[in-house]
Amino acid sequence: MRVPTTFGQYVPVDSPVHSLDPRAKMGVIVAFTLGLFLVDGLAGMSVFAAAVGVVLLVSRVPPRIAFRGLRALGLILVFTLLAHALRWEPATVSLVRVGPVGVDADGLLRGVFFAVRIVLLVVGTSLLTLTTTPVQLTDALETLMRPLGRIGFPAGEVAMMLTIALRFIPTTAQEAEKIIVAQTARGARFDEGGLVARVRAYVPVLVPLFVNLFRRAEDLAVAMDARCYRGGRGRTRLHISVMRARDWAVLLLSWAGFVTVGILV
Amino acid sequence: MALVARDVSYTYAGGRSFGVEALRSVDLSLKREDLVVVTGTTGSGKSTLLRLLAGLLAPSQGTVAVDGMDPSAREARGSVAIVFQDPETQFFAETLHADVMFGPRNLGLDYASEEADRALRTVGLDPDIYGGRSPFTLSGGEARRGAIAGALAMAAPYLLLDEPTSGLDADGRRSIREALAAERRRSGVLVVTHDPMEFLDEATAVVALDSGAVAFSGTPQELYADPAPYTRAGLELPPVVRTQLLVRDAGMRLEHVVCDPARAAESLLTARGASS
Amino acid sequence: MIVFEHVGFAYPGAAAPALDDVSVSVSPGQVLALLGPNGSGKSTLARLGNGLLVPSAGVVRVDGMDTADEDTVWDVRSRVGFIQQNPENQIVGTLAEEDVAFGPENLGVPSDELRVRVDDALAAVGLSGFQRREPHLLSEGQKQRLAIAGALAMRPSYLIADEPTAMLDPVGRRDVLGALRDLRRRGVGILHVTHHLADVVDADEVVVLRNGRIAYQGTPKALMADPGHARTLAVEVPPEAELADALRRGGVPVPAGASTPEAIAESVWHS
Repeated sequence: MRVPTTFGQYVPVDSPVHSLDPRAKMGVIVAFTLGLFLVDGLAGMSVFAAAVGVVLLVSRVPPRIAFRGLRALGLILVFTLLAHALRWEPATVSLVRVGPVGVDADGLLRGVFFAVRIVLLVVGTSLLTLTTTPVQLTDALETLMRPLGRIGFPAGEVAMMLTIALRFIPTTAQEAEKIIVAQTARGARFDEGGLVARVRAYVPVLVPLFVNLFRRAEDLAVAMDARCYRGGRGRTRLHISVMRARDWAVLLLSWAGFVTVGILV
Repeated sequence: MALVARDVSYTYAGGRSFGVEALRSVDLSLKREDLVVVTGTTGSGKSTLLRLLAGLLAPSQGTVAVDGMDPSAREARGSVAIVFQDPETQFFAETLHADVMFGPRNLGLDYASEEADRALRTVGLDPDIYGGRSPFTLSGGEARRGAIAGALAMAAPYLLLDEPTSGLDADGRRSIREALAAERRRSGVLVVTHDPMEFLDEATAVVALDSGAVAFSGTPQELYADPAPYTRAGLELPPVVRTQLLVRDAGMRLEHVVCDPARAAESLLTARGASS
Repeated sequence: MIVFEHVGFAYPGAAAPALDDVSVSVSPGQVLALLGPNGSGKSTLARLGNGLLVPSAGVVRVDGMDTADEDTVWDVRSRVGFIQQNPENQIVGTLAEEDVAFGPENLGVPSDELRVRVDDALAAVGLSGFQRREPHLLSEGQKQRLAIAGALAMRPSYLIADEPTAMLDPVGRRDVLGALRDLRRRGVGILHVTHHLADVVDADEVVVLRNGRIAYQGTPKALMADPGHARTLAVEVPPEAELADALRRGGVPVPAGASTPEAIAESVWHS
């Protein structure tokens, strides 16, 4: 299996989580997030941790990939932990004390609690994008936005725009890398001088990048025209997502479960 | 004085970057006035070799040296110029002259503007006519030549090009060949291509890569004398060359083997006259 | 049939018309090769073939429907697939199967039939098993075959291919040409715009455009056998055809159809 290059990018394997209706998944995420913020104490939190663990296992997404997003959060996690655990000249008993600074056991637990909450939130929500293709996501958004069509909101067109944006992100990133290497070879320096100089240094990258993007857009418009795209109306879908009994069951159970645990524990 | 790769290997640690492949124990040397043609199928390591020679990648093993210096070192700046595939997609300036001047100006060359004019003349674009034009309004062949001028203007003793003639018509390809022939009088030129036919008649050496290793290295005549290692690398000799090799293998004596159809015909007619 | 009748076209503001009085046609199962230098009008003609552009003079009909008729233009486009030079820029979907489905989705094909069409189209271009691949991770040749599959999934009677091999390496080019040959065998009529005569040696007909007018109309074999004439038309013939021609002029009786090294070599040593 190919490892996704960016965090949160779809992992193409088959699993019960992958086959769940994207709208159900979105609903579960909402319940999960709500419960996560209602829960009070590590006991309740461990239920959510277990839930994430089970879903991760069932989804067959390699944990290494699911946790990759945490790397960027490292600093925030450390800060969260320290902000709760450290006490300035504590009056009460504390675990460790270095000069005027002490580590408070209660605070440490609280810090762990908040840090775990962030970890679970990030890993839990990233499971949505890891198990759902961008097109499924935009399709789901489209159906969820469809009621807005009655007040003139172009749900289909907006979803198509999102799809195309998602489609061309990797292409544009590859192209940017190519242009940067080429201009570097022509002696361009991107790491010298002050802020203004650095921003200016990117002109020889951004101009060709945009020129090429506009060229792509023209070609793409022709391609879409040639393939009979005329707006969202009358379009069918390769994957029509119908909320089956299983999807409803998962959705309702997750709401019942997460919110109950959130309130009670 | 040369651009030399000695026993160079390159392995990717972690993620494999776009369009770049691994390389095993490659030797290569480019001197001034040389034209070296590097060929191989897609994924054979051509692009990696190019980036290593230009100092844009550092070898995991072996050495790359440009006139005795590490190509990525500060003092080697401006020693190697490189033209990537479809270089015309990297234009950014308002005029062609300004775009061509970008490289020499970055290097702090005193005669950046003169170098740009010289480079434009070398590729057959009159600086008085084309210098003031927007690079985005040039035709396909002109744009390619203008972009190559951007590398020539850096006045580097070694020039590397990745597929310089791809997508061009016969006229466009001929003008690129002429520009490179002119440039060779002052620098060593290395061309990476999957279709070496364009350059074989002029080449001083051919290097064929297969899965990151050198499958053949020698002069074109050495290649024609024993093409087996080349074809084993999944590469095909041009049909015009194959025709001459078939005639030669059938027992006719050929003075030389060439890619150019007109000269090949001459050579074949002479051989036929001699044998009858 | 796609029929171009005395077609003219001028881009707004252009000094000279891009096309002037061009009449050609493409029948199902046949290949019409369209050659000519840059700016000769061949891409314009390609875009007139499915109503992306409408002629300023004359008429273009697809199975009898006028492409200028707005009521039938979508019917026209569903019958005439269209692929372009740059494979990357015509792929809409974020997965191969989603891209192939795009055309028939727009036509309102029901989703169980979509599945069949997508799998068939991918198989037809040799990309079975690529359903869940992301387009940006495919080779250029694979991307171009994906684009062909995208056109094919609309079950077209014709395909217009505008320089489909221009940006490909030899392997990609061979595979795309193979896919086009398969299409023709299935009865699809193909308008193949190209720079390389070598790409279209087995076309039923070759038309060379120059400055928007037809400069040559004939067979690829006839053009191959006369590189001198081809050169005056700014058409590139494969170097081996040039060699055969030069040998012929030097007195070696190379047969007209001989284009392989073996055939040419044989006529050298047997004469």
